[in-house]
Amino acid sequence: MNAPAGGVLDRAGAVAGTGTGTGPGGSGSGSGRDGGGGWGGSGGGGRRPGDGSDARAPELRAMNARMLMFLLLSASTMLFIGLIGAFLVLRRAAPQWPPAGSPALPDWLGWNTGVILASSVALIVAHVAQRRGRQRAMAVSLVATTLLAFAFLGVQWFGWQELRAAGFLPRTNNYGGNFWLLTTLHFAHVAAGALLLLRASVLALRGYLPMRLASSVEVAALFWHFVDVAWLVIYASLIG
Amino acid sequence: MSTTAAAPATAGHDAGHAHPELSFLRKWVFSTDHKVIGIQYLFSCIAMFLVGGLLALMVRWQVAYPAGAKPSEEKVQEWRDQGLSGAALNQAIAEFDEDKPFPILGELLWGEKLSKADINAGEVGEAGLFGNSNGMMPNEWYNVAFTMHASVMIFLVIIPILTGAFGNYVIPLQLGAKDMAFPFLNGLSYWTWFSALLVLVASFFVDPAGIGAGAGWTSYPPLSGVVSPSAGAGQTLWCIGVILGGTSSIMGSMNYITTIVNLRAPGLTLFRMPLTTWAAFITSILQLFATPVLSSAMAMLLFDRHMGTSFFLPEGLIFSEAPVPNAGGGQVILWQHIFWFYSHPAVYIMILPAMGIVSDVIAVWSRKPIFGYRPMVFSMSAIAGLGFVVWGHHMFQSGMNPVLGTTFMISTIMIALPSAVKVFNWLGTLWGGQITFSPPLLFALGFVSMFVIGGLSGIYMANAPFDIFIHDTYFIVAHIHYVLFTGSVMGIFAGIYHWYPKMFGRHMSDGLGKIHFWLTFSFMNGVFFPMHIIGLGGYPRRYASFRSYDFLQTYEGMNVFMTWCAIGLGLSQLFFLWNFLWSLVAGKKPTSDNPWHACSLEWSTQTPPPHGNWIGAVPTAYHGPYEYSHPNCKDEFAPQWMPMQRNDGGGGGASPTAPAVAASSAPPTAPH
Repeated sequence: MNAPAGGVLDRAGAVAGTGTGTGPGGSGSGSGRDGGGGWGGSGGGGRRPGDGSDARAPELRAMNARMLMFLLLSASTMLFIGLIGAFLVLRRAAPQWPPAGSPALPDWLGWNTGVILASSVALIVAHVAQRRGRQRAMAVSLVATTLLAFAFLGVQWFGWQELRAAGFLPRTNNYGGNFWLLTTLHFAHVAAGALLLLRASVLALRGYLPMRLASSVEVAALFWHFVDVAWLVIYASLIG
Repeated sequence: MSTTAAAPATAGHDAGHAHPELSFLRKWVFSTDHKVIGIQYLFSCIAMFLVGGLLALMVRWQVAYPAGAKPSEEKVQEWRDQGLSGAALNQAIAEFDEDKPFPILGELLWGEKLSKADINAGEVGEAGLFGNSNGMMPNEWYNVAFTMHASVMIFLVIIPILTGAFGNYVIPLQLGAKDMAFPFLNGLSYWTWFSALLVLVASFFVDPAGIGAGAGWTSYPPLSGVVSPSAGAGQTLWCIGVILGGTSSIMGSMNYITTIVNLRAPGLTLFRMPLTTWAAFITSILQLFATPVLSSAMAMLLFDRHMGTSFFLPEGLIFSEAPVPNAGGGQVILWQHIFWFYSHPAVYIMILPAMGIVSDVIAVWSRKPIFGYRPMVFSMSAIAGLGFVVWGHHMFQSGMNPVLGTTFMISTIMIALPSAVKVFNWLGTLWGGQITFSPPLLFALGFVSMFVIGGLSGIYMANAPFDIFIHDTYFIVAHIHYVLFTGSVMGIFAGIYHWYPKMFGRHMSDGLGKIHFWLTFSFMNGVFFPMHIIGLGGYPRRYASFRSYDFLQTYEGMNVFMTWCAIGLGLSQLFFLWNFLWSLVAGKKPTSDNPWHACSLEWSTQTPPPHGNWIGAVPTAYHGPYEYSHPNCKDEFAPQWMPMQRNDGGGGGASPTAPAVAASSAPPTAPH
């Protein structure tokens, strides 16, 4: 079954060689099929067009997943740019900031920044462990990341209640409106990221080998680091 | 060799794609096949095209025949001549009633039409679907009609038919991919869009007063930012619908970009892609970066409406003679900046794919390679890039630093350069070509010629001093319709006539197609061209009735003319509708898989293509997509999936008219 596919791809490489510029690299064509795949090391072939059955090859799936995540993050970035940009405009135009009637943001926001930074560090450890093929270290640090992610969600949730009790609501003033819109949207991103991490952790705890989790960990890491950086920007613009 | 290669490939296909016959629901409703999804988009969009068109006719009818016509001086003189005077004459004037409800639907929607005498006698007619206003459209409803006409046409017709229907159907086929990179996401994106459709349609009906979203498609606050009779529950649903539609756009564009980057057939380099796919690629990038910003604006607007925030509501705002409690600290112009940051690129989202389609159609039907293929790609990229830095030209009148205004003016005028490159390249492609005036080419020519009119009025409007003069007049309406109707919609028709055989395995009628073209072409100019004239005369857009203003009375005759042209334009679409539907069951079957003798990869497979697009392996691309009338080629055209046969005996491969089995392991096309 591999033979004809390889044949097609080899020919593709040859054809592309005569083409212009962005030809497909024909290398490493069939390697993804054993289920190992992993693209940390072997995916050096670059763009590898193929027929539709290749859509099932783990290597191409991983490329697609990574690309999808990058595109999704571009879209999310634009979403946050819209909101944070609007916030900064309103803030600059306000005669007084913070407007009258806004309580000081509680300390838990600062602590939570620590929590999400720590989770990113744990995730970097997990990613390194995954690339070096250390199953146990990867599983432990993935679980740690996930726990920190849920801790962030919990702290955020209880902190919100505290602010609500203090009467700080979207309708309080422009600070409130921006605070709640930005933190809610960020919360939704964190929740989605926590689910991605949870999935990777469960797979790791069930003993999946690092090679097979390459794509899951990579995708979760991309998303999680984005969520982390987004929080830093949001937090800075809220307190600064 | 070919058979040995093809057989195991087929086996591989079966192993990879081994699914049993799907249930009707999975196959045609919740499908993940890009072709089915594309056809779903196509049918839904054509249905919404009728809805949007009907709304346009209502707008036109109201503009030509608003309520409250007074008797002319001649008429009064006639009465005097008949001997009426004093109280009798006054009564005749008071009971004069030439109000014309919208034909057929007017009385169904706005109640029975009674004569003034009956109303004065205290009679009450039967109520219609949207209340009882004597069969005439109330002014608030006129706002709804033009708001929803634009919203339906933009969010439910032009964007989804170009990116959803053609994007879905054509991209994987032109790339030689068996499906999109993420088939499930693709289906999800259709159903998200469909829920946007339901929500937007529901917006007509949710408000007890019968008023839908009426703040204009631009939904400028403060009107849209406060819950009020003219922006009630319908306006809220409008915002939600736009967010849903945007989400679907984002999902679609992520899918298209990934597919185009990762799933191209062997040998299909980026610069061997047909321009339709290039346009889809560039459009997807625009959508990906612009649409989320619109979602952020909608989220803030929803917060203003329902969470008591004040993103867009200025201090001391008074609404219906009462202060708005939550207003304070917001910026009205902030909305305009954020909205146009999306909506100007959205204009290019609506025109670039049509440009791609038109390029393919012109090349095929004039049997010439695209003149300046790479400049075409670069000019599309330039239009897309510049499209992000011109949004301020919508706001010359909103209060902007003049320096900034000049900047936006210059960047806007610069867009004329890449646009002109494209127009001249289309003309260069047609020059000396062997032109067949088929319906697709006629519509493509319509696109090119009318796009020039829209483009030239665009250059006028880009100039801030001129724009201040024609701001918010019908000149703007003329421009937008010359770009979007006589531009994008003509491109859409060209695409439908061109790919119909590939989609449905039947031909549309050429004769009906030509009637459709000529009627559409004549009537649309009758509708939209006079708008330039009344616009320069100062006729404002979005006014429900010209009767209140003396200086607008002159234009009554022109308005009536445009309205009847619009009705003619609407009726001529029935030729298309009949042609489209009837050909599904009774159209002539194509005699070959490549009835137009086209070169791009979508014509290499069966017509219509099977599930998985190619039986066996996908084709290989050996050269560019426009090798028509190549001087060194033995044949009249050299399909992309076969090496070019040269006059001097170089190259190799089979004649394009023979089944493509000889030299490649590409699948045999279906028996002819």
